[in-house]
Amino acid sequence: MERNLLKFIWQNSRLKQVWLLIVIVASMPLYFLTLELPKQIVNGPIQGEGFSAAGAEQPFLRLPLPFAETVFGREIVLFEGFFLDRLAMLFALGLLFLAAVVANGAFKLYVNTYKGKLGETLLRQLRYTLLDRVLRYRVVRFRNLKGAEAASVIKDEVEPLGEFVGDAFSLPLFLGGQAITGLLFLFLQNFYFGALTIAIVGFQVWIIPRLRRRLIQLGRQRQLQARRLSGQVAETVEMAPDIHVNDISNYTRARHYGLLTTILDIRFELYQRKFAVKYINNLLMQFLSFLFYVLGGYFVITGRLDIGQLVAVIAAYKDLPGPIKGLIDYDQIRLINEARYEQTIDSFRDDGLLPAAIQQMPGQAVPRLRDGFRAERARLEDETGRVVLENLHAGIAPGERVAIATGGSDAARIAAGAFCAALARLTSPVSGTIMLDGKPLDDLPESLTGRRVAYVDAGTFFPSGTIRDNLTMVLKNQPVGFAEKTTPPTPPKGSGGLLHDAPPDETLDWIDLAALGLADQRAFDRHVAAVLDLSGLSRQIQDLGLRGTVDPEHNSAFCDKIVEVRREFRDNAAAFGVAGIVEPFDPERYNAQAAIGENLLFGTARVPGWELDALATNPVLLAILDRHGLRERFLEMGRRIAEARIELFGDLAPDSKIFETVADVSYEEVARLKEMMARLRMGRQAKQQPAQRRAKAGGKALSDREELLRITFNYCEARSRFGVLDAETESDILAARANVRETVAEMEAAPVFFHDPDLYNPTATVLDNILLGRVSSSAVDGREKVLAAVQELIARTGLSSGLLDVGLDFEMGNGGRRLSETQRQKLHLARALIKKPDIIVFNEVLGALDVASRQATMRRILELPLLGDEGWKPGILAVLLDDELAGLFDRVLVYRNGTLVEDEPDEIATRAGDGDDGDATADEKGAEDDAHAE
Amino acid sequence: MRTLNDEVEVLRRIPLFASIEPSKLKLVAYAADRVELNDGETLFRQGDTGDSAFILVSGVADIISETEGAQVVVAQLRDHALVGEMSVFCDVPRSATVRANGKLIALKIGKDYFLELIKEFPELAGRIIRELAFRLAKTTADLAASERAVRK
Repeated sequence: MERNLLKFIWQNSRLKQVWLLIVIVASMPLYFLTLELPKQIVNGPIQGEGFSAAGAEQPFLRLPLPFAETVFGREIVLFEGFFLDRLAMLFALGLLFLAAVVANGAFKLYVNTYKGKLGETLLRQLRYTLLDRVLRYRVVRFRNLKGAEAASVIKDEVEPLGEFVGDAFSLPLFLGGQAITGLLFLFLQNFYFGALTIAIVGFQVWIIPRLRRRLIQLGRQRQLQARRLSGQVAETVEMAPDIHVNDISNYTRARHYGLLTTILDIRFELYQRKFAVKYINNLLMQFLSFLFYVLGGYFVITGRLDIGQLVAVIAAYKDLPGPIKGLIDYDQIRLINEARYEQTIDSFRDDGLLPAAIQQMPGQAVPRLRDGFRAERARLEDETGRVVLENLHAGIAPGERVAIATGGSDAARIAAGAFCAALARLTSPVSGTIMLDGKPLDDLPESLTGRRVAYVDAGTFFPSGTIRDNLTMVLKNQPVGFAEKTTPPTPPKGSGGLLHDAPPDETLDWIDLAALGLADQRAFDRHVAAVLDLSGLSRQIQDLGLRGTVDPEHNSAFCDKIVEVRREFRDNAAAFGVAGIVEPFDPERYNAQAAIGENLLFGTARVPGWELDALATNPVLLAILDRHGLRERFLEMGRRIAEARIELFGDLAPDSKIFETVADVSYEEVARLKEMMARLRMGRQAKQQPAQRRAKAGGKALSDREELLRITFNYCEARSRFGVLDAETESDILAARANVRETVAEMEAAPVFFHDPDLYNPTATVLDNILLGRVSSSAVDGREKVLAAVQELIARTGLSSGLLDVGLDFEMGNGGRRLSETQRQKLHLARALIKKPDIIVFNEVLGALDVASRQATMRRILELPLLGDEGWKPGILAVLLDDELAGLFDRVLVYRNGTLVEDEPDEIATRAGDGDDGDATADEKGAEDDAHAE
Repeated sequence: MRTLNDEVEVLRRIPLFASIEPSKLKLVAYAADRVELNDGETLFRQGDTGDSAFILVSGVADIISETEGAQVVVAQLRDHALVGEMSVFCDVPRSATVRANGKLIALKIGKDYFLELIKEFPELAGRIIRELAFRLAKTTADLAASERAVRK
């Protein structure tokens, strides 16, 4: 890229810069008019100059040709103007002034907007270009690239450039013009004073850049340190668990503080220098004034200069410091931005970028692979640069199944991993070649390898988004019907490397169903379901679907079916072996398995003010409680619950495991309860002593009484069994429940969705909608049994796909961490399958699964036909974690004498059967069992 | 409705907890889930992963060994017996199936909490060791008896 900032800006915006300059020059007369008119108004109509005689008139808008007298020797008047009397003149001039102000403002508005847009457009393209570079870096480079640092360059460091672009040329020309005019004027007044001024300004021009050199260095250092800071902060966030586990928070603090101090030191020196330069500047300019006064005064007094001349000189000088100061400031901004820009460009150097053509979107369909991979005399290195494979001759064709059996040995695993990475283009061979369909892999476009070859390893990273987003992301290669425009993003000539065109819209339809051999969206949904089945994820995603919520307005058919399932579940509970486990919500009965607040509402909140934790401050509800005399009773119950909790948990140590396993409160909460009860016992007015805690919902502190109510609302007798809820209170709660219902029914927008056996509740999860009740806490494994029954029922009613659909909308969270590691590994596998590639490379996949599930999954993938597609028989190259699977492959490669060679499948299977260390590795990795998998 | 205090009364009658003071017993009762089984219902199945131990409060439980589909009742446990502690201590799958013979009421104590209880109350640990030792002695005697029977 162009390294000089001004050149870069000029190359990419010259026409716009010229236009900007024209507009600014065009606006100058108006600007001078706004300065000139007030003077005329005061001198003319107000002070009465030229209006001394009664009925005198003066010309308005008289337009003499400028400099006519000097050039032609006489005055030439272009327009004689309108003759107006004093008062009319005042109004005419006033209105003219108003018009000039409005027009001047409009010009300013236009210029500023134009500058802003110019800068921001260039900024967008610059950022886009930098991002394009990140995308075209070879994968190897990312080992040393910190994400947060790159982000800080692209986001923050280039930001000030946007403001500078608009001023880059217009400002110095404008100010320079003013300064030169001022100087010229000074020269005209007096040659010596002009020369004196030029000398001083010249000295300034000479000295300032010298003083600023160090400033630029410091600016660069500051930029680097700030970049390091964002890298370090991001690392700290990433490694938060490690910091806690190893007690290195204090070291981390020290590390950050050290960097912050370095930045402070740099900035402090920067300020010192910056203001020192400013001081010298001002001093020099003021020194000039001093010279003018002293020297000029001396000359006047000694009679060598007449006073009129000196006054004229000083008046002319008055206009000079402004523009010069502006120019000096501009220069400083320019220098800082140039340094910043160079640094940015340097950190995104072009060396080793992939050619843009490699990532070009092909116009036509990508052909299927014919011959597959072939490595010839390839020599591969690992991350440290150590040669791990030498003189490798190996290959895999579409339709062929090749296993690499490592026997768990480290050298073999590293070698096999390097081979897989090379096939996936993550690394390149140091020497020798890897060909795909007879062409060197490095020259092939990513559209071919990215769509026809899939690669899966043990990685578990996913960007945040829904499961669906992350699963289908790999299919988004180019927008459907984008065949016409095939040019890759290339910077036009003379743009200094800046990209000018825009990529296609993100919101287009990027998934090409035809390329997958699928007819329509329904076929695609079936494809997704089949892929998830094959990866062993269906059941788990359905479980997530049960925990998700559905909006009946968008998916009414599904919700109607759920209501049917609800009925069936209730009617056939005994057949599923879950009779009596779920206590259904019955408007006439108190639900012992639900909390008191839930029983009172008999529904779910639609607005935060009616959530369980916020009920204690809900005036409508409290009024109803009072009507039934429940508030005082609830307070008393809250007191007894708090006391019971204190009795149970009050003596436990803060680190007691009991808090983690059985208690429904934390140590801190118990401590707060103790304080609260002590306060209440001392009989102080609770209202004057608001509890120090904040309610989870409303966010505002609750008073002690409200806190007691909150405790009561959250209390469930069947779970805690403190014996504070009697039958009489239960029936009163039922009466209050009816009251709540009536009151809410009268409200315009119902804040509560009441349990109704015939309606789908959009605020509750799918599972709660099916159960419409609470799982009893006294049933053995009640929850598991209920879940299994629900799953069975859903499979039977053909709702699985609908539920899968809901589950696919589950947000995976930062890095995908809301899914377990096994689930994420399976999702990576699913991504490889969903695009139906011709060759799939499995590099020790599914290591987080237990051995049985992993082997079952691999067996399923090796079965034909895959995903019900007879015509699709992908080649599979798998680095095995379980060598006993080797018998299922056509060929087996083993690591011998520094390279991979063919081995007899039988031999491997026998060896694996002896229980070699290959099994041991697999067992270790499969520690995290995953019961849902199969 | 049963309350914690009722359950504490039940626990006090169980020899295993005899030496634990009532206030601590309340914590045990709180942590334990009371489960009720009808005749023929299973408490847990052989081969399941076990995450809790059970104390029988009332009723009789059949201990059933399953081998290749055949079910043999190897023992019967009744009031106040401890069941399922092996999976909790050793992290192994359930070694036998336990099924209710008539109406059975049991207290279910989660694995983590059970281990915590033992740490907190050494007397409890002592009693459990005694119980296990008795069982081992019985098993050894049974084994010897059956071996003699086979030899004959």
